[in-house]
Amino acid sequence: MLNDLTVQNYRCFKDLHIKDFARVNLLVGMNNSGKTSLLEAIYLLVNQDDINRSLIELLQNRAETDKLPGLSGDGNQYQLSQYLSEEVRNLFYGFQSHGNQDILIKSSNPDLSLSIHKINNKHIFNQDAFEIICSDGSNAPIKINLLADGTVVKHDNLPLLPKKPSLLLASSNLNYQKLSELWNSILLTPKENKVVSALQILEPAVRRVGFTSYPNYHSSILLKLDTYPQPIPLISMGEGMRRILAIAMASVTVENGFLLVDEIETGLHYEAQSEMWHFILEIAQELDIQVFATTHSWDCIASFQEALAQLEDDSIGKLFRLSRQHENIRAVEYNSNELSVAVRQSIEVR
Amino acid sequence: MPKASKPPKIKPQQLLVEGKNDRHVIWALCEKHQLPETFSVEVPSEEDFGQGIEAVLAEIPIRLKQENFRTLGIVIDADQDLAARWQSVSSRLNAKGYQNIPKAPPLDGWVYTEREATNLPKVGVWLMPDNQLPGMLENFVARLISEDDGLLTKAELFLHDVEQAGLNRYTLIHNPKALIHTWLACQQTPGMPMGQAITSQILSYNSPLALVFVEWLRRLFY
Repeated sequence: MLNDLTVQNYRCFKDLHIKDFARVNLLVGMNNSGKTSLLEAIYLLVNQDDINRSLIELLQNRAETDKLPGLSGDGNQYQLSQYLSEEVRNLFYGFQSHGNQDILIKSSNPDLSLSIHKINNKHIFNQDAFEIICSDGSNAPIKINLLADGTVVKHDNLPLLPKKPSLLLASSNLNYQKLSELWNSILLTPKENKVVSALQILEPAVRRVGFTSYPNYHSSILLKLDTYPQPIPLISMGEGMRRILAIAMASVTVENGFLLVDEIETGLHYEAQSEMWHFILEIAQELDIQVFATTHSWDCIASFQEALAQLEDDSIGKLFRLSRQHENIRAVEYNSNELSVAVRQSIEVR
Repeated sequence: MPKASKPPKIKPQQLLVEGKNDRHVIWALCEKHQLPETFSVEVPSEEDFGQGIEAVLAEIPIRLKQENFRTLGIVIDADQDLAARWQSVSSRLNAKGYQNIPKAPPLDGWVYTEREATNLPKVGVWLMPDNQLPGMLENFVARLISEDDGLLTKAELFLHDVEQAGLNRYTLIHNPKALIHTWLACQQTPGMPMGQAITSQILSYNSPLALVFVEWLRRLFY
């Protein structure tokens, strides 16, 4: 679990410090206060042993790059999109990678850090090249160069600590391919039942989930309901079912890792949100997952508080608001007690 | 399954009070003095359980954390121990970064004046009735009665007799409540609520204490 986080010169964060994260963290804040950027920063930090992929995935989520470039090469050198360096430059605070203002994302407990800084590339003008340095505090740092033509060069090949699984769920849901990959990893395990129980939040008659081999066909994911003899395509059910499926699949597949969800309440009614939080709080404890989720919705905050208040140990959940004051963004923390007063009294926390 | 709580409205200036009576009295005074509605008057719902003061104290830090929040006014009863009540509110403010809070409440109410330097929301505190005496809202309202009012003296005597005879069903601490409602019971429209009595000028909105209170609101919210 991440206890604290520092983010410097990344996206809208000039210098952000947050401490005392809980197991399940709900992030709120105005538009442009950096909620999604904070999820990204955490994602990059906890995925540092596979930084090329996480970086590209993250740029894709923001639709800053169209498709995952083919990872071709000999393991230490890849050829990626030539636009990559421009996209990476846009990750810097103020959209500029000049001077000594490196991107730094780190936590002190556990000791993890990731920095990105500009390097001189004499061969190609007008394009920036970058060096990414990842460290987990135990081994020598890994250095990766990202050249202006999209070439990625990994200098050392020392493994970092074993990777902890993590998933970043954007506000749009996971695509079929990703869902089916996740499904493969839990097929015929008890985790499959957990996914079914999550779907039962919205449709109590669900008994089984099945994936077919027709990814483009409308019946690619099928559900068996008590109420019908034939399988029912997931797509014929509401947006909320797809959201719950994505959240449930993502949570059960990141045991001992991190679940990051943008706009978690998308498509879910208030009462379903409350059940969803029960599910998430329970699974986070059971599978040792740390959760970071964002929302704009008061209902989502109220349902989070309600689910949290029913736990014996309500300190496992907290709310953080990203609050912009002029150039700086700071985090304002609410524990379960404060949240329950705020929800009861309709005191704004967003 | 409980209902979702109402989403809050954005209210950058709030006056936090213990109960609904405080709210109506303050609304009536503002109306009479033509103060524009630049702040809301917030009442904790725990009032019903007789925990007004505890609920108010618990809400102070949470209200101060609101985004783009400008001003928090706090009106609470001094009750029996004015110094202890002042201490309990000033220690909570101190924990949120407010410094140089006076040791005792100023007679004309306290307003935090260093917000430029600290970037903290503006804060003001008024202890009912008058920042010096023990007591409650009802003592404040009794001081809106003109001093030569014969009925007030008569009502005091009446309650004295009731208490002497052991016929009072209120606890003695609530004598001021019994007094103001006895007095209100004997008006042209018997049993008018306190706020309405101010609006219909049975109670004077221009009494010296009312003027000090309104001036405190002005310093705080305008």
